[in-house]
Amino acid sequence: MSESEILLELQPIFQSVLSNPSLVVSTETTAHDVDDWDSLNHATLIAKIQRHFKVKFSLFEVLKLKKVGDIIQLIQSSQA
Amino acid sequence: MRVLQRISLKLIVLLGVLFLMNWAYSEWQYPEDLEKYTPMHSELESAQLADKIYLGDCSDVYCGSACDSDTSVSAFLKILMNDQKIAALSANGYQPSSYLTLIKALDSKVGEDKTIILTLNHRAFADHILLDWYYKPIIEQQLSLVQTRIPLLNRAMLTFYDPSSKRESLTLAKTEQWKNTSIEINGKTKTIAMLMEKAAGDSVATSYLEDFAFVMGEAQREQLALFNDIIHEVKSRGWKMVIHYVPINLDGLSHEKHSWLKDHALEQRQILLQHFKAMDVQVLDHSTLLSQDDFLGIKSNSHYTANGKRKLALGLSTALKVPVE
Amino acid sequence: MNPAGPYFIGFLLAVVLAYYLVPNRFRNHVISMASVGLLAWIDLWFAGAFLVVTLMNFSAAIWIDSKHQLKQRHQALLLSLLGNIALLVAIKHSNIFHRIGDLFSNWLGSPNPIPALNWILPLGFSYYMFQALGYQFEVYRKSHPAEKSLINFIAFLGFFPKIFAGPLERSTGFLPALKTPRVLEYDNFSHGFRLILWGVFKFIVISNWIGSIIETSYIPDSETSGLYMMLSMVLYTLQVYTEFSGYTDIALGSGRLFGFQLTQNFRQPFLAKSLSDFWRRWHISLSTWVMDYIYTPLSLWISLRISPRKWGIMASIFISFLLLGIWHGSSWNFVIFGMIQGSILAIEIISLRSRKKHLSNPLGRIAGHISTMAIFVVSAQFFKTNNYHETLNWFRKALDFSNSNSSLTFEYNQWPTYHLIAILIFFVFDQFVVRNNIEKWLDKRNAVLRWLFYSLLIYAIIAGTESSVQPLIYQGF
Repeated sequence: MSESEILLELQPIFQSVLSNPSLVVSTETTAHDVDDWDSLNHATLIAKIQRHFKVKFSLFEVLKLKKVGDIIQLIQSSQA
Repeated sequence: MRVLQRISLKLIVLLGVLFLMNWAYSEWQYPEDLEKYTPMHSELESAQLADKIYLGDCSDVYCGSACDSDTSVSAFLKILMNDQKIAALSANGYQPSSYLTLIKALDSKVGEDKTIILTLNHRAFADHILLDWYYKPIIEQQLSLVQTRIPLLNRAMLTFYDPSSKRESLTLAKTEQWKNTSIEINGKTKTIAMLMEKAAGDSVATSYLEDFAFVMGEAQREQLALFNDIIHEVKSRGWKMVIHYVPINLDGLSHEKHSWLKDHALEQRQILLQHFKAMDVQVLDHSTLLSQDDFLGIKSNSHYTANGKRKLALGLSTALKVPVE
Repeated sequence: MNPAGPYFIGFLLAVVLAYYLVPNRFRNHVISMASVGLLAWIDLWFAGAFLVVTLMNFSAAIWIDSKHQLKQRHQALLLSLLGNIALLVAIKHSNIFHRIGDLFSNWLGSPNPIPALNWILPLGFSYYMFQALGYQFEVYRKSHPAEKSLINFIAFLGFFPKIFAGPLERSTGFLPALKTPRVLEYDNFSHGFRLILWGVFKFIVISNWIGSIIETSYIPDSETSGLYMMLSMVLYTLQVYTEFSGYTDIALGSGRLFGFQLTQNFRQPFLAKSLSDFWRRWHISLSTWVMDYIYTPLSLWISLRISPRKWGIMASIFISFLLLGIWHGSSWNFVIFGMIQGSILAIEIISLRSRKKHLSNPLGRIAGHISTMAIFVVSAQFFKTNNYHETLNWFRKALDFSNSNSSLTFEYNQWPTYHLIAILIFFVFDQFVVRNNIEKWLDKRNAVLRWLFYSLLIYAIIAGTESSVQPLIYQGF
């Protein structure tokens, strides 16, 4: 999947987990930029992303994630 | 280079600020601090105007248990020599280091005729007293404010004085140093630790060993060096010096648990007397003057009864060549 | 050694002088030698322990880096961590087993078979040990390669201004800084000395003034009214802050003299609206270390495996802060401290959404501030002693309002009153005006005002207290 396709599919996941229907994330968005993106929601986000894209991340990979763009790259490499 | 210039300029400004600060401190806060932190400062003021100054320790002023009169030796001396201005700089725990600081804190004028009567307490050469961790740090801190001629610097020394670490290091040094000291007794070498073990359980015997079983080692020589410094300081001011060798409880030294100790102490006494003779100072030797009855309590101490103190004062007044009433 | 005392400052200036006299390529050597030398001068055991930890971690990281397969790196990291943790437990928590043995022996009525080990904790041990653990992690996840220069590594772990009580520096920040050439810059000197002066003032003056007001309250059986005890508890918390932040400013200022920007450890902690917010403002270098290296991996690992996820998150935060408590020491007081923090933080995470509604109105915010401070004041009392029975006694005293005729009252013309007013002024100034950034505040003032300020501080330091000496609360870790 391309970066823009993944980014599009990520929007509803973020909106639902962070309870913000008007939230729009970009590749540069980090947890600091978004209200409610705390550790609890982060874990929920990762779980839902894994389920939606049918991929499995290792803890090591998850710990390296700093922004949404990193998540997209991780999804792409997991699908490859 | 420019950086160094800017730093140097700031340092100069800082020095100026400190100079002004010292002036402000001396004018407004120093007298109050002296009252608060230096209990001996009023005695120093009296000593400034006195003809004779008695520098003493517990042998002068102690009045604890069994004490029959709180009049000190120096107070008796003042009574006997009431036509002279006599001041006392005495406190429990004073040592040569304290006396040196006190003398240096006194101003001297040309042509002044002052006599310093300096206590020589045999017990002050015992290792555990040399490394006194209780009084020494307190007195040192109290004397901070009269250490130098710059009041603000003195105040900094008071603020940053660390009695607890002093205590810790002195206690550690004490434990290690003196128990390993060796003594020759009847041709055999024993350490203080061995002797203390033998006297264990007998607090009287132990107390005499602790106080008198020292030999003139490095620590004692350092203590003697302080006496030398005091003598030098006094002489350089043109003042007279009298060493007052206070009494040793020779009866107590003859305890059955260490019958050799009396001879040993008298040997160390000879060394001290010879040392001061070589320094060309007058020594008033009262070390063998008093008997057991003139001492307070039976354990080793240099605390005298009223009667004992009177005898000392009489001896002093005679030696200082004033007619006795 | 007192980091706010003349000996340390004298030592610091001597090292700074040597540092700028040598060519750049030897400056790290100067730092390393000075750091090890200082430890050895204080106690050879401290230097020995530091060198053991340094050499162990230096070699372990190179070993981890030599493994290219993830599984091998994993195993190497695990072994390295186990080695470090074993050392940490042995040296710092050697009595934890003895204490556990005590519990059982008291219950069974039999003697404790586990002996007590009375090892003196090496100075700065917990700080450099955690830095070493963090370093292993970063090498493992390839944030940077393993350091090949032992001199640089010694300088990173043992940089002496931060050896007493932190801040905990990350290898990702400090190692590159050590490799950057440093030149003599006026700003570094100016800001460095300002920080040191401010730190010394907080450490020696404010902390001391507070100590003189509260010391009688904490003496067992003292005639202290409940109200005075409460005031003392609040002031004690402030004392922990002034001492610790004062020390941190000295460390940061000293670092600036060498051309380093060390991590800020405080950011107006008394303005925190919740305990989570508090830990983003207090001992920041430690709390972020715990969050990054313990909480985040643990919470992700647990919550991805068990459901509902929130229990995993709550358990992770509880464990993380329990460990943070134990980092301070293994006595029950620190365990209780950690448990209080962990429990409340766990509740805060779960209740975040509902609390946000309350925090959006002024009354809710005030309640948030007050409750956060109350929690911290209560938990800070566990720092004052190793014996939790004593701590509980203090709480009983604070809640005992029967003793209202205590002789300890504030008279308007007595020094404790002046000191209390000065402390309150300082607190308002520090938290609301300076905002834990004295450099920035002073930058905006003119030279005359700056020098007046410096003069006031210097005078207070020299002549404002009886004694600068008191044990550094955070140095024992």
